[in-house]
Amino acid sequence: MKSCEEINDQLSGYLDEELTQGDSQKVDVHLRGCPACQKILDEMRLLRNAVAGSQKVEKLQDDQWEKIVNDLPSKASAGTGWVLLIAGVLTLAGLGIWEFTVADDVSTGAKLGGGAVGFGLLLLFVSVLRQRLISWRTDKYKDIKY
Amino acid sequence: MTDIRSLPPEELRVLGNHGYALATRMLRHREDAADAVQDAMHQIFRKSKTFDARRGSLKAWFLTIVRNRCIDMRRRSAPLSGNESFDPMDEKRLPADHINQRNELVQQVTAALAAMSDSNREIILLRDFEKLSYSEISQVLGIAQGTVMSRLHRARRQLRTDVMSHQKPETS
Repeated sequence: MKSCEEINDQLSGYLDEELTQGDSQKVDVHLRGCPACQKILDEMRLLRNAVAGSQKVEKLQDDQWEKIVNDLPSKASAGTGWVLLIAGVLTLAGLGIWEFTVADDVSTGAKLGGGAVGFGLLLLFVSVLRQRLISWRTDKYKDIKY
Repeated sequence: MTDIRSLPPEELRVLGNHGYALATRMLRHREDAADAVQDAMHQIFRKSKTFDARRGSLKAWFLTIVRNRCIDMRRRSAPLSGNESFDPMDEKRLPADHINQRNELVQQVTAALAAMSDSNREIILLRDFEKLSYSEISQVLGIAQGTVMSRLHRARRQLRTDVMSHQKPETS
């Protein structure tokens, strides 16, 4: 027969009917001959019911639920919208840079100035991207999946 | 396989309410909790094809997403937006008749739960309030099933010690 200490560790699982059949039977046998462990189990059952009754059930109000349901399609389309917007801007920017580079009516000085501005913006972007990557690498919550 | 998109609106709302109850406990702010549920709903719709009922229930999957979203929101916005004075454990929020109907034990349990660590309170409520199985709790918390059993046991033992130490001695 198992000791009270061993049984105590299993009482929670026994109460929730989460033990294997074998372990459950061992606890059964022990409880029949041990009023002290039976008392603990009774108290745990009492507390379990009290926990269920201790919480107010928070429910979404009708207007909150309507908002959630109605916003689902718009949230889904927002993601697609951003992708299309970014793709479009990048395409236009690429075309603009190409046209600016090969244009005959733009002086070399203007091309160099424009190139410097473009290159500067690119460097700034890379710098921000690098900082974000470093912060992502050190983020201990990064593995959380949604 | 459960097709989430074809779930009846009532079932979807029940699911939403489960998530809202969890989110209000974690965020202690109703609007933020509703936002977390909305984001989670969006996620399950977007990833509905990846849901496999053989790996766990829809409720457990949804609560996992809500919980992770709440963790993310708590991390990103400290203090919480508006700092609404809201505490799901706060007795004062409940209607007077509701409080009057409560017996002493429930009040002691409420107080003991409020004083507990977040992790202990969370696992007790997932089991005894949300009625999740150990397998579902394991999925929601991302821990092994055996760990659920031992952690829940420790949490309940602490709750029992806290509550029973305040119990009046029986007079018989």
